[in-house]
Amino acid sequence: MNFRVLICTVLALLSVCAVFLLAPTQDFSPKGILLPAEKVFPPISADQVTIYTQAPQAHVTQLGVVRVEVEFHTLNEQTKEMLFQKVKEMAATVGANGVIVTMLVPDDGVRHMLTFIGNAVFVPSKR
Amino acid sequence: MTIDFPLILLCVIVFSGVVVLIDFIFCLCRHESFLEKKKRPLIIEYSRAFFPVLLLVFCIRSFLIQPYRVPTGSLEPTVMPGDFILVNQYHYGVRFPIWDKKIMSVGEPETGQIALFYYPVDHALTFVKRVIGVPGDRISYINKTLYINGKKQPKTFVDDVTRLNDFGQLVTYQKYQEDLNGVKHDIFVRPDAPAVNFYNVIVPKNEYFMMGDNRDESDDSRYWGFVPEHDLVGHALFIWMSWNSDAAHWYDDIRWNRIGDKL
Repeated sequence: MNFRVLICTVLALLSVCAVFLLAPTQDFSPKGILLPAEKVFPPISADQVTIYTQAPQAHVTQLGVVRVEVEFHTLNEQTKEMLFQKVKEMAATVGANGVIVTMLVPDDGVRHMLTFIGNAVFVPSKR
Repeated sequence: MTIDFPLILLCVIVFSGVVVLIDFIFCLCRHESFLEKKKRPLIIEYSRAFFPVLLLVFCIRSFLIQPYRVPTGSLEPTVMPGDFILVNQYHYGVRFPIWDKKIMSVGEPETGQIALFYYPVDHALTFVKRVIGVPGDRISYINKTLYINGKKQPKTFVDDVTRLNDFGQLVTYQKYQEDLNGVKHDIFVRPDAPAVNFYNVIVPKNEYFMMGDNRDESDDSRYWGFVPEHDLVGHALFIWMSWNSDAAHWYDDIRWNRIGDKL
């Protein structure tokens, strides 16, 4: 291999490496939507929202449906925490202090996706 | 990082381009003719041959038009699985691929247009849906009827259509013609699917609300939210090929009647 070919190849490979290094990394933040019910309440803080795996023993008011999806490499607690935080933030926008989980499905197939669907509700406090 | 076709193409272009550039510098330094026809080392010969062609392909695909194969029936009956559509890449602004940086503003998505965009949850996938809400719009969906800014989008019943869906189930759809702010198009509604009503979803600034025309079998903004402006790819123009992989005979594989349909 002559000097010219060597220089051309090395610089070309370095340039390709630079492209790979500068290429944007995948954003793994959760994405979703809150589909509001006809009547909603004023927004509250996300810290006030509780996620229920079973419907609470109270007469709840349905305020909307929360749907969130997040992509993951490996499904761990951090991924779930990120997803739940997003769910709480969205539920809080319609004044829901609770979200009842209706579906939480990890799809380990082609898409590596964790899908959450829940009902955003207002649970009256026990007095 | 998503290793997809545009990134691989760009890497090959960068590699061949740098080889050609360094070779050109060598030619200048040694007072050789760059365009002289002579036997060169293989890597330089191939780079010289492929660089301009690949650059042209990259520019056309990235800035002008791109073909796209629709894999699902979420936009049925307008677009069917196996349809190949041509996408105008600059309609929503000229963007540099991979980094998706807008270089030049051209136009904005309008309600009723069919747009191609990166799936916001995973940029490795590209989705095609209809624009339902633009920034500032208030969208409601009540008993499978759309309301935009409080205005009902009328739909008229056309026919019952029975066909196989994406999951291989034989389903009877109700076909309606919807008038979406003046854009008339057909939609499918499944009478057996429950209505998921929602009221007054407000589309944020620089984001869009997308839905498929197959209203009860579409993975769209109702599931993963709004599409940011920077995730838009282009505007679907027309169907240039339609391939029916479920056809009973080989001569029925191409749906000739769909070729050329404007979107």
